[in-house]
Amino acid sequence: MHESGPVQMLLRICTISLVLATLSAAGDPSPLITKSDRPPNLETPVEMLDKDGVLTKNEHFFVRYHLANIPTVDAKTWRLEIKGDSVAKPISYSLKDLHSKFKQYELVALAYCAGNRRSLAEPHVPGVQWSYGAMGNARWRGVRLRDVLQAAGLKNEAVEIVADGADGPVLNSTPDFRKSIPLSKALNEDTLIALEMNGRPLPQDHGFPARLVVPGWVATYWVKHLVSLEAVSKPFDGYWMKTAYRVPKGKFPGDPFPTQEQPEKSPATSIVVNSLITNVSDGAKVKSGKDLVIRGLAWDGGSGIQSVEFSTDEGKTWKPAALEKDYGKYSWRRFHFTERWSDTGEKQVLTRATNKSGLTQNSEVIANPGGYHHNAIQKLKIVVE
Amino acid sequence: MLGILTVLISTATATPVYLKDGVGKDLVYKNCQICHSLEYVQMNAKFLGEKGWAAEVQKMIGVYGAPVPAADVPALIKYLSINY
Repeated sequence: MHESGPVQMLLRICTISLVLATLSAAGDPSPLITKSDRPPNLETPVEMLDKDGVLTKNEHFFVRYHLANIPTVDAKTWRLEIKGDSVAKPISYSLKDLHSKFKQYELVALAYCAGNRRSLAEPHVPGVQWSYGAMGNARWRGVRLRDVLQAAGLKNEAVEIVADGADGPVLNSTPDFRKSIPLSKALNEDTLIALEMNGRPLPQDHGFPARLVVPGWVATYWVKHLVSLEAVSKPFDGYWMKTAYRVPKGKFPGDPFPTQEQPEKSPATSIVVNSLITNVSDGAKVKSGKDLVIRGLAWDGGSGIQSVEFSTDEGKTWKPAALEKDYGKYSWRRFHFTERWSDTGEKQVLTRATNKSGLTQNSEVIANPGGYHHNAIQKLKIVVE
Repeated sequence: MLGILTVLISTATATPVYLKDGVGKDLVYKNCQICHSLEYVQMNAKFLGEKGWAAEVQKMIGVYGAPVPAADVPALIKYLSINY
């Protein structure tokens, strides 16, 4: 016990380091829920989404990585390469170039993980067990993807743009995370190479120094730490396109991605219409005869929210909720309504959003092997006392 | 010595995940942690039976290229299905 050899010394140093690490972590507690530490997969608590309102704070924003080799990018030496068989003059840009040579645009858009709510899937689907908080809404600012592509002499034969980030696998035998988007989406004026998030340079966890923002589409396409964009004349067949993030054909509405269609499966593309009550948790107790203000968020894949309704009689009748300020068609929209029960007992509140294309939420989960696109109508239990 | 120290400190900053004791636990530490932390095991506990865990292990090897020695595979699956 009183020995003080090199091993004891080493252990003591490690203990001190551990204590210091714990203390520094305790000084700045992250409000996020750790689903996994390496790679980091962090979920936003619903209370935080409620508190932040329309724009989720950067430090409250969910974090998703597939692979654990995540370098810190040096802004001074970082370059974004524009290349591929479908550009006439391959070129690379520094961060300063992107800021100074291109017009900057701004929009509010929802980053939504295709696998959000996977933990609610029945039967269980393996993977990161997200609850409700793998989503966040931010004001993104950066350059148009199409401006950058056109500056490199984008050719007519291009069918897809393949994005690669600086992050990658631990082992060379693991497929690198690369995603492609169809040319039509790449040329859409709202598709950005974002350099800022809520008025600040992109934080490391959210893709510093540049990430794709593909508004209306699930966040798997929003590649972080961008290092290259490749314009290709043939569909990209990497693992993360060919195999991952696939849904059974015809089961979900969404933008088409013709060059990636397979006989049985389509790539998950548009965010499905959905809503979430954020200020009242399941099983909350309320007083009989007293007004209860219920609020939440509603979103879709870029048509915009037309209406949110609620039901207190298991969906027999629906009443309109009030929609709050509109931040644009790619942003989620806050809603609220007031309800009061004069009796007591267990009650159920249902909410459903409808978008401007007339699509509404499903009454039940549409089962699929990846556990994607869960947009079943929420049934919130409330106990009236 | 300094090398060991650096490794210990860098892993000490992450919240450690402790798996249940059982035959084959060392194989999980040795093979799975190369690419990801072990919450992935805990997250899917309760849901996966032997067939499910076998499919996950095979996916890690076949799709993600995990260099799990063939001799470790049965014991790895057994540990996971008994304990998680």
